[in-house]
Amino acid sequence: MNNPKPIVFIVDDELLIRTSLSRLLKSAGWQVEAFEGAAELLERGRPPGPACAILDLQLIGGSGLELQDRLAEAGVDLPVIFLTGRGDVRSSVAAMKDGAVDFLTKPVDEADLFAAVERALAIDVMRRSAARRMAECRQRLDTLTAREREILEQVIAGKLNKMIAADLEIAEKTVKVHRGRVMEKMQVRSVADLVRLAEVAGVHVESADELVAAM
Amino acid sequence: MQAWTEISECSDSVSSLKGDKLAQLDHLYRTAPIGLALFDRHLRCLRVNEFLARINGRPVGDHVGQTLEQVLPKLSPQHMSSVREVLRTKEPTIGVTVRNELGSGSGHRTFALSFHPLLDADDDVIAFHCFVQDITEHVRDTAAIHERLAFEQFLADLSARFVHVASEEVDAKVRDGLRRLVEFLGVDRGSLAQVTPEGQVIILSSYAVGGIPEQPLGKISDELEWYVQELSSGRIVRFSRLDELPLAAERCRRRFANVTGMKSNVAIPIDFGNASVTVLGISTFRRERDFPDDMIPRLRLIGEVLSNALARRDADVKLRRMQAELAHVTRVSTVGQLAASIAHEINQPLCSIVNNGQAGLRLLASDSPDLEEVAGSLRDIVAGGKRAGDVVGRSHGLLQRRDLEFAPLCLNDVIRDVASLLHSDALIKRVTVDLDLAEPLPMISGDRVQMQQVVLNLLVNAMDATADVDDGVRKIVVRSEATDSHVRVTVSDSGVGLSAEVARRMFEPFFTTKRSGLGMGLAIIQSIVESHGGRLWARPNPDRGASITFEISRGSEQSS
Repeated sequence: MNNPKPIVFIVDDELLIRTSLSRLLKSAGWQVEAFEGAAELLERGRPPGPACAILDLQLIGGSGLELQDRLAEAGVDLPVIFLTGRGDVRSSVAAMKDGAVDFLTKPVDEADLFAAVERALAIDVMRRSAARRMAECRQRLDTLTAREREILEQVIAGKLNKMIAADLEIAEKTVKVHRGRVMEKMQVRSVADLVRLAEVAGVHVESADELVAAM
Repeated sequence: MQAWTEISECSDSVSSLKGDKLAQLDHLYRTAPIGLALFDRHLRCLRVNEFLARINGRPVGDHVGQTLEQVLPKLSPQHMSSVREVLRTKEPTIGVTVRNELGSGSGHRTFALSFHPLLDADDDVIAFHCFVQDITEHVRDTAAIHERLAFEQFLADLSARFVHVASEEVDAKVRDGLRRLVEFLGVDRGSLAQVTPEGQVIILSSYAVGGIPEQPLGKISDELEWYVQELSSGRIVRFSRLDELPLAAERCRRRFANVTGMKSNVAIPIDFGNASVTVLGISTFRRERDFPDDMIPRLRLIGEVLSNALARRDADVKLRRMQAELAHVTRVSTVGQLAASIAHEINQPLCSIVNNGQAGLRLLASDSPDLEEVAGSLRDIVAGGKRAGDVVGRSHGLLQRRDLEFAPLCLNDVIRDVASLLHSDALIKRVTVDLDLAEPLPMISGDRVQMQQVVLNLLVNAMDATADVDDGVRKIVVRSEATDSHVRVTVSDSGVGLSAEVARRMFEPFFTTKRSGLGMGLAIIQSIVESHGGRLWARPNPDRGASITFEISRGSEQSS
């Protein structure tokens, strides 16, 4: 777990539900912030640490589903657990499609609730570390020169130095130098690592198809 | 017959009268159609006319020389002194009435007497005349007219007492009517009974004067079989003395003589032609009494007034029961539509209770439990339980089949109760319900559940009306206000409004604009409002939607 304590957000217009859910989650050691409406959560924004949101499916001033959309739009990207008074299949399907982590029916059992929160927080951690890794890779990628970028794309496409040199009409030795600098800037030791990293950073490898076609 | 000349011989005073005056008197005594007598200053009779002699049943001659008391034996000391006044004041005395058994045993007769002084030339009283007029028939006719007027007055008063009588008061009013009848007639007991189609006599109401046992309500004694048979055959039972009862009524007679002590009785069956026969009976216990023929139609009239009131009450009760039944059915169907919403209203506090319970257990299980937090859980559990209970109570009340209970109540409480039941229904339907309640609002007298039904129905209608509107404005305002005489509640919606056709027909039973509606809602709540002495009306709003208003007259109680 990261350093900042995970936060569970609660949005429910019902005071009784807000306080009781807060109390229950706090008793299990989570940090809780409860809001009466969607606007307050949007204003609060997402914390630096891991977090998730428990939303009432029927909220005054817009349903929970709408809130989920608005959170996503506003870049407050939180895993969402829905609480509902009734097991409405249609809205639960819609919620899950929109990326809800869980869909719980009131009154909810603490085991189910805690499991859902754990899962949501884990998803948040995963999403965040993936995002962080991607940002890191992008950062490294951005340090490459245009020529190095070209070489990288060729390398991850599986081309040999000789082929790259021929393609780019440069000396094979020059390719080797560029290639060494790419490995250095991308902080990898093997081509396999480079491929993985490039993938995370979203580098297109369509040239691999060209290679296949050329062979 | 004596001549006046003879009288003048034996009476110095009369002899002073002139001959022509005597002749006039003589003529008067012979021809006047009333009894006449002349007395001297010593109250000795000088002369009577033939008419008076006939009244007294004695020859004219017998009277002469007798005293005033002998000629007119029923004079009281007061009469005597007023006669002496005539001698002193020379003014006539009129209007002395005596009841007498004069004549030859023709019963009591009533006479009006007057005394007139006879003056001589010096204006001295020399004698006085007594005029005796038989007013027996006049008195009897007058008494009959008075009695008739008194009865008619009694009947009119009695009938007036049964105009606009609330059903709950009819029993008391009927008994009060019997009391008035008993007092009016001077009898000891009056009862109203019903003859059932099975031929049983059921006492419905009874009043007896102090010291006389009231007739127990319900079926009368089996020993009175003859009595019951007479009445159920439509015959009047009447006896002034027990020995007037026929032989067939021997068991009745014995019961009256040995058990109840009834001495005389009349009971009149009143047939309404619809298999329902009621009986008015009056009885005496302390003395025997005649019930003359002319009393029978009168008693029948009174019996009709009393039994009409009971029949009207029965019909009214039946109608109200049907109305309540219908109100219950429509209420249940309305509440049924809200089942999901009500379940949600109960589920919310339940959810809070479960959360708090689990939190509490968790807190207690820790090494150093935060007891303040545990107490908070428990407090919230209690609050949640109460809230769920309130919701259950409110919906249960609406679903129950029960009698009307009029009590002082505040319509604001009713509005808040109903609005809270509809809370999540409004959320789901995206309708905003605003309450604009006047505080404090005067109390009204009403049945809580029926008033809840009225508000519930108006709110559900308003929500349905706004649901048919496509664009975003779905708003309902419930407003309460007090006028000088009434408490008024208006439910306004931003819905589709009222067409002329709907406005005209909306309160008709079975009229509906909804696909699934029974069409009874507004008709029922209108009858509820009217049974609370109020009224209900609808009008389109100037901008959009419609408003329905009802008002109930303010109770005398303090405002809440």
